[in-house]
Order: sequence, then structure tokens, then C-alpha cells
Amino acid sequence: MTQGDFNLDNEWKYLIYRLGGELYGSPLLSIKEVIKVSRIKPVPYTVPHYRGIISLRGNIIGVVDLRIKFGLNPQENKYGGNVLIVENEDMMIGALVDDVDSVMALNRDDVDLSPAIETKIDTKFFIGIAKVNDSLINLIDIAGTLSNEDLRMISRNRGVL
Amino acid sequence: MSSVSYKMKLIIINFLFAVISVYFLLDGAINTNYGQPFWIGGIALGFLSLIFYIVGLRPIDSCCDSYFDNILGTLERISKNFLKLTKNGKEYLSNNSKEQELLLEQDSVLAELNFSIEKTLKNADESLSYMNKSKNMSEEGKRVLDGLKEAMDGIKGAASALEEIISVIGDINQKTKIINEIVFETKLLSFNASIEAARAGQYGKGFAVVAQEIGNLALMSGKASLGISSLLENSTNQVKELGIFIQEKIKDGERSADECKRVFIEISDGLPSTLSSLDTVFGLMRKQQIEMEKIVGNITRLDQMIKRDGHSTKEMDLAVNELTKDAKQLNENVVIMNEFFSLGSGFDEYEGDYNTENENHKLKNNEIIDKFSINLENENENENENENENENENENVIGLGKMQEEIDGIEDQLNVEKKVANYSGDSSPIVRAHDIAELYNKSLKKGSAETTDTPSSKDPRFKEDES
Repeated sequence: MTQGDFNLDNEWKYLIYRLGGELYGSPLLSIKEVIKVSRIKPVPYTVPHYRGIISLRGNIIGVVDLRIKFGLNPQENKYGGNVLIVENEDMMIGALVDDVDSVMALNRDDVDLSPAIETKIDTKFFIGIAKVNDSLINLIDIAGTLSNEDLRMISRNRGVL
Repeated sequence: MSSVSYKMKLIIINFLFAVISVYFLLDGAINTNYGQPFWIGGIALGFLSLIFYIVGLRPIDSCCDSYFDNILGTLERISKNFLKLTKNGKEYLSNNSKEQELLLEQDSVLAELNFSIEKTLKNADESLSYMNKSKNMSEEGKRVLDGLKEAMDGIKGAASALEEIISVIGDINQKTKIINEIVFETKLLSFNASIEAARAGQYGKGFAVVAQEIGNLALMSGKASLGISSLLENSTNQVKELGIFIQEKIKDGERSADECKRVFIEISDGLPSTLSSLDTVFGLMRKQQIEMEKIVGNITRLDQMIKRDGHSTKEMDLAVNELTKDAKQLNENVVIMNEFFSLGSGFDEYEGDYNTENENHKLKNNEIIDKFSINLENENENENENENENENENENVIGLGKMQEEIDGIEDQLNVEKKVANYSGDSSPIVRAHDIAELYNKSLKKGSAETTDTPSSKDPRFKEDES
């Protein structure tokens, strides 16, 4: 993991995390916190990618399993996985990932924004692709991965407690 | 009897001579013409008859009886002694053969004894070797057991050490887990710190650096923790191997114990064969004792037989001595008889020859008798030598045979003399006397081979009668 230049703008810092063996990245500013998941309380009659709710310093946060969301094998992480706390329009969302790898400051040259890729859903979550050490990293916006229904559900569940 | 009739005949002859002389004297006295020759004749005859009486009849009268009695007595004694001799000789021979049988038996008994002794010694040696084997085996067993004990002790030590190691590894594992957790949390902390630093904006840049360093530290800790984990894994494997090793050693110990058991069982099995060997040894020794007793019995019997042999030979010796004396005496008597009956006529002429012939005859007989007595003396000396006895016996038998021949010759001579004495012909006394003399001379010829001339033909006395 390359250490980014100190003088670079914070906007170009990305948090790199693993998901199903592959590296993904998200903008560091979008992520409020990273916590180790202890216990996710499941909620019945919810979609599979909605794992449940957790309590963080008194706040109730719904957790979405990005593995299931992306259609990957849902495998149990040894250490229980990490949850990225993402802030989205006054609403906190938790995203379950396998492992947080590092924080990278990427150069403008390394990032290839809006490539020509077709996906099932809206491409607004897909930011771009970064080239680091002969490997590619998908840069995605976590909030963009969730559909409106998911957002509604999460906001509704926030009020349960 | 014959001597009596012989004597009677001589008396008759003498009486006739006297009668004839008287007749001639009377005739001479009556016939004065031719009287002188008859006178002379009568006187001569008278003198002759007197001389005959003095020289011939009287000695015969006095000593003929005694001579014949002597000779007969001697013959009887000789025959008795001879019978005794032969009987003793036979007894001796039979005893000798019995002795030889006993000796042979003894030889076989001794051979058996030797064999059994050898067997005994062999068995004793075998017993000793068995005992030594047992001793060695038991010592081996001891050594094996000692080795086993050492192995067991080693195993115990290893087992205790193993337990310690396992507990230590467990502790380390636990600590490592804690460290891993810390590392993880530190990482998260660094990320959160970076996020906050980013939110802080330009004021958070210093803090971003701090966050980064924290992340680095977390990484380093993670690596160390990984190393520790790998080491722990190695240790665990080693402990497992050690456990297996110990198990194997325990199995070896068990095998050694079984071997030891087997060795001791072998030892205990070997002892009964030792005892049976000793039993055979004792049995053989008892047999030997019996054989020894047999030998002793045989020796005593042999001793008795030898004593009897001595007695027999002594008797034989006595008999032979007497026989010798008698034979010599008989020889002398015969010679004297020869001399006596060849008196007067031709005595002067053949004196030398007759004497030498008779002397030769006497000497020959004496030689044979001496040889025989010498042989018997030798026999007495060699009584204890079993080997010579048979030879001497054979010689003695031969000597006895020769003696018997001589005695037969003498007997024949005497028989002839008896015939002469019992001679009862019908012819005149003179013819009778002539015949008697012839017979006697024939007997002499028979007795001595050297005599070739018949004295009767050269006898001047009978020549005178014939004329």
C-alpha cells in the first residue's frame, strides 16, 4: 500500500477495503467511521442484503451486506468483518465489508473516471477505476449502491428504536 | 610166585648137580678101572655144585625174594604215583581252563566298568555345562530388566516435560490471540483517525500523519503476530511428534519385558533336564558298584583256585619225586638182575661191553627221569605265570609219556623174567637152564637196543654141555 503524498487534497484520498477477495475503494470523506462488528441484530422480514441493526454510541444504524448486494458468496469473515459507517443525507448507513485494507491518496493519473461499462443498475455508484501496483481497484460510492427502497427501509428502521 | 618156582628150579638143579656128583663118585669108587675120571668128575661136580650154591643159589635165596619183592613193590608204587600224577595233572588242567574262563569274564566286566565310568564323566560334564548355561541366562535376564527400567524412567521424564510444553504453548496461544485483536483494533483506529483527520480539513493534516503512523505500527504488530502464530504451529507439531515417540518407546519397553519373561521361562525349563542328567549319573554309579563287587568275587574265587593249583602241584611234585626214586631204583635193580643172570658164562669176555651197555641203558633212563623231575621243578617255580603253565604242562605230559614208555619197557622185561620164572617145560634140567638163559638174553636184547650179539651163542658154559 502506497502512502499518499501529504500535500495532496483530501478529496483524492480513498479507503481501500476487500470484498470477496477483490479490492474496492471509496472516497475517504464519504466514510464517517470504521468499526469492528461485534454483533449485528438481525431484523425479520427484510431483504437478504439487509443484515440487521447495530448500536453505535446510542445511535441505531442499519447494516447492509455489500457482499450479498454485489452478488458475491456470503462467507463468514474470521474476524467478523468491518462495518463502514457511511453518512448519506442525514442518515447513517452501515456497510459490511470483509476487511479494511488501507487509506490511499491516489493521483489524478491513476484514476480513470467513467469508463465504458454496462451494469444492471444505475451507474451512479461507480466512480471509476484506479491503477495501483499493476492491480485495479473499483472505486464505488457506497450510498449509490443502495436503491430507494433500501433507503426507505433503512430510514424506517431507524425509527423503530 | 614166579620167584618161588624159579628158586625151586635152582634148588632142584643144585640138588641134581649134587646127586650127579655123588653118583659119579660112587661110580668112581665102584669102577676101579675107569674110576679116576669119575672120581675127578664127581669131585669136580661136587665143587661146581657147591660153587653154584654159594654164588648162585644163596644169593638168589637171600636176595631174589627181596629183589623181586622190591621190584614189585616199586612197580606198584610207580603205578600208584603215576595215577596220582595223571589225576593231579588232569585236575590242574581243568582248574587252569576254569581260571582262564574267569579271567576272560573279568576282562569283559572291567571293560564294561570302564565304559560306564566314561559315560558318567560325560554326563557330569554335561550337567556342569547346563548349570553354566542357566547361570548365563539368568544374568542376561537381569541385564535386560535393568535396561528396561532405565527406558521406563526416561519415558516418565519425557512425559512430564511434554505436559509442561503443552501448557506453555496454550498460554502463548492465548496471548497471541489478544495481540491479534489489539492489532486489528489499532488498524481500525488508524483508519478512523485518518477519516477524522480528513474531515478536519486543513487542520487535520498533522493528525493524518499520526493516523498513518499508527496504521504502520498496527501492520508491524500484525506481522509479528503472524510469525508468532507460525512458530506456535511448529511447536505444536513437535509436541505431537514427541508424543508419538514416547508411545513407541513405551511399546519397546513392553517388548523388552516380554523378552525377559521368555528368557526366564527358558531358564526354569532348563533345570529339570539338569536334574534328570544327574539322576542318570547316580544310576550309572550304582551300576559301577555292582560291577566292582562282581570283580571282587571273581578275584577271591581265582585266589582259591590258585591255592588248589598249588596243592595239586605239590602233590604232583611229591609223586614225581617218589616216582623218580622208584624208577631209578628199579633201573638199578634191573641192571643188577641183568648182571646177575649173565654171571659166569662169557662174563669176562663181555664184561666191559655189558657193563657199558647196561651203564648206557641206566644212564639213558636216568637222563629221562632227571629231565622229568627238572621239568616238574620248573613247573613249581612258574606256578604263578599263567602263560608258561600250559607249555610246561605239555612238556610234562610228553615227559610222562616217555616215562611211561620206559616203564612199559621195564615192565616187559620183568614180564619176561616172570615168564622165565614160571617156565615149565618137560625137557631136562640142563635144557631148561639153557632155555631160561636164552629167554633172558632175548629180554635183554629187547630192553637195550645196543645189544646186537646174543651172548647165548658165545656162552662157553653151554658149549661145554653141547659137547
